[in-house]
Amino acid sequence: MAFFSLQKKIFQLFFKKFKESLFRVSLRYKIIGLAVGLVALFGTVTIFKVHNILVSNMKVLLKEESISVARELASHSREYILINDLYGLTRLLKDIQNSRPEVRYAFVVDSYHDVLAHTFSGGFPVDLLKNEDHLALHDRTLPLLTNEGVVWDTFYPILEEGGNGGVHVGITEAVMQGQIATFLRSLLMHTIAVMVIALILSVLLTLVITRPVKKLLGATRAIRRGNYDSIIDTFPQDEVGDLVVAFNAMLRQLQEADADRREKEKIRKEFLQRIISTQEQERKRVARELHDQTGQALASIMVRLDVLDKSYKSGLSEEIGALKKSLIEEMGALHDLARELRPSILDDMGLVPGLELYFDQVRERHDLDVEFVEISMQKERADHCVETCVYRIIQESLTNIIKHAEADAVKILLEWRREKIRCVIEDNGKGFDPENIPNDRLGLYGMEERAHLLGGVLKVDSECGEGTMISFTIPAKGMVYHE
Amino acid sequence: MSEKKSIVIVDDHSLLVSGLCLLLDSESDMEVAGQADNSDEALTLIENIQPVVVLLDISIHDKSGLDLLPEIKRCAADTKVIMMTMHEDQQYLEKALANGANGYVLKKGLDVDLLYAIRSVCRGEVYVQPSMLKTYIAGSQKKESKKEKPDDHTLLWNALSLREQQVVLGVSHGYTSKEIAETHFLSEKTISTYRSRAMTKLGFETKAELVKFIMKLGLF
Repeated sequence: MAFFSLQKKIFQLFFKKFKESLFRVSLRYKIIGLAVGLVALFGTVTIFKVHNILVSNMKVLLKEESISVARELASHSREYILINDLYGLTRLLKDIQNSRPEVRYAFVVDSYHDVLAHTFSGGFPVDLLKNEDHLALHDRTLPLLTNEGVVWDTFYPILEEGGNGGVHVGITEAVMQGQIATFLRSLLMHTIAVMVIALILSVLLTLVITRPVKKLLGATRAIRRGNYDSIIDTFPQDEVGDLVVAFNAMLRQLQEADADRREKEKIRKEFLQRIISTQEQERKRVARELHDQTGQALASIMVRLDVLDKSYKSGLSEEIGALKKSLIEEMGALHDLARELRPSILDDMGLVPGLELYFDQVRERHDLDVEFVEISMQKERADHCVETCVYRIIQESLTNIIKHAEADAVKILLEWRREKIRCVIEDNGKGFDPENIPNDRLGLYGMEERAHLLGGVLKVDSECGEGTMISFTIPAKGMVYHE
Repeated sequence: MSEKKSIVIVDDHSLLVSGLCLLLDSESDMEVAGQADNSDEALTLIENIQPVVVLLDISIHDKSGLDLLPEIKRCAADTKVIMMTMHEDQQYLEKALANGANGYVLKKGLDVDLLYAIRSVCRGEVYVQPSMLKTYIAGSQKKESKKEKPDDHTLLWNALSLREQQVVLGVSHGYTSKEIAETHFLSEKTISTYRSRAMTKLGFETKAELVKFIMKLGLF
């Protein structure tokens, strides 16, 4: 049982391998293989079967022929024996041999085991007389294995009652076998010719079948690359053609969906950009308002309090002093509020001073070592949208670091290189698994989105325990949408 | 008693300006000679009057006071300019002083401080809001030490950590991560992290860029 199950297993394994390798072969070779293989199989079976039938028929035929020739010779040779014309007998035998190529030999023996006449030109092979019963009463046929192939040897008694010697005839198979071989060879040639035709036809067939399939493949690849224009215009009217038609229909839908998506994406981007810029505008406006209106009003109140204090030499100066003190506090708070909303330094003096101010604040408020390196940033001002974007991304990163990273040092590198602003923010905190972004996913997403909107890219590189590195690049002169 | 010091106020907050007028006129040695609420008017006025002191707001609506400052100096060379602002930030102070301001007063100190500032600048001194001096001095000392700013390539190179520099040098010399890892007794993964982070910091995509950069630094 164990042996059988092992065998079964081996068989299954072999079958699996075969199936796999069959799957790997391309459609073209499958079709060609099928056509040529079928022809070859059919040809082989035919040749084999025909050979078998012909050979068995030949044996019967040769045996019968051998008997009939022997009978004929026996009846003819009787007269020659009676008149003891051995020369005539020999001529009779030779004539028979000449008229029938398959007759290998013929000879006549008498009752004394003497050979009266034979057809051998170079002496009679005595082996032929071995174990022969020449006094046998009946004819009998035996296949003799000789070095020339099988020879059907028939003994036929000269007299019906026997006992007076007989005629031996040997019919060789070689002649007929040669004919069969010629026949089979021509059959083989035809099979090969048909195989060649099958090959050519199947190549043509595969071309017809695979061309649209290849086109489909090319178009599918184009779709993967985001190109939806590869409608296939020529195709056959068969199943593959149906597939192409369905494919084209799908492609058209994809085109529409893609155009739709692009349009929506564009609108979304514009909308987002507008929201961001409106938010910035609004913040700027409120900050300015706080500075310029409320702040100035408070300042003027202060001045007036001062004037009041000086002109009325009353006992109010203590009261006025307290008022002034709280006014000063209020103005400080107001200033901080405005700066947090949107630092006016960003508009007045640019990105680097703005960032330096921001980093000063961070250093002051948090236990964080902020290192800032700027390279060729002072050449000129970037687009103000870009400046805001860079500022906000850095701000968001630092906020995240302060909130989550447990870092004690941050390095910020800012470089203006080839009309692009490049920034790298690196902390030495606990990092996170990029596959499993923790709670502040939206923060990261927001930063990416901000960078994308202005034609930039943002990359986050983090590993648990290895800190986090955020890097982004944005064209300095901006693009897309402006308010 | 000496002549009164003529003062021009450039500020677009009428409430504050009227307050200031009251304050200054009440002083015996000062008088407000004019006021302007936009940059053109201010320049004409200052050119005509040639006041002793100009009180200049940093944020007038049509132009930054910081930009107006050099223009005032150009048309009235002897006039002292005191910046009045809400901004307590060093960056503003530095820029103002760099642009030729004689004084820097915060609006929240617009009482005694202002009068003192006006008198100081008239004596030819520079007045800076006392609360801002400490950071200013610390900042300028730091600047002093950083004066010889290295070139861009060196700055970029120095932004890398020592380990990153070692790894990047190894890479540029054609060593594999494995070989570098063996030299520094670190894991191959750590080396490739260093490598990719260093490349990100340097902003290079290819090894060719890196080699070119290292050759420029003269470290190859």
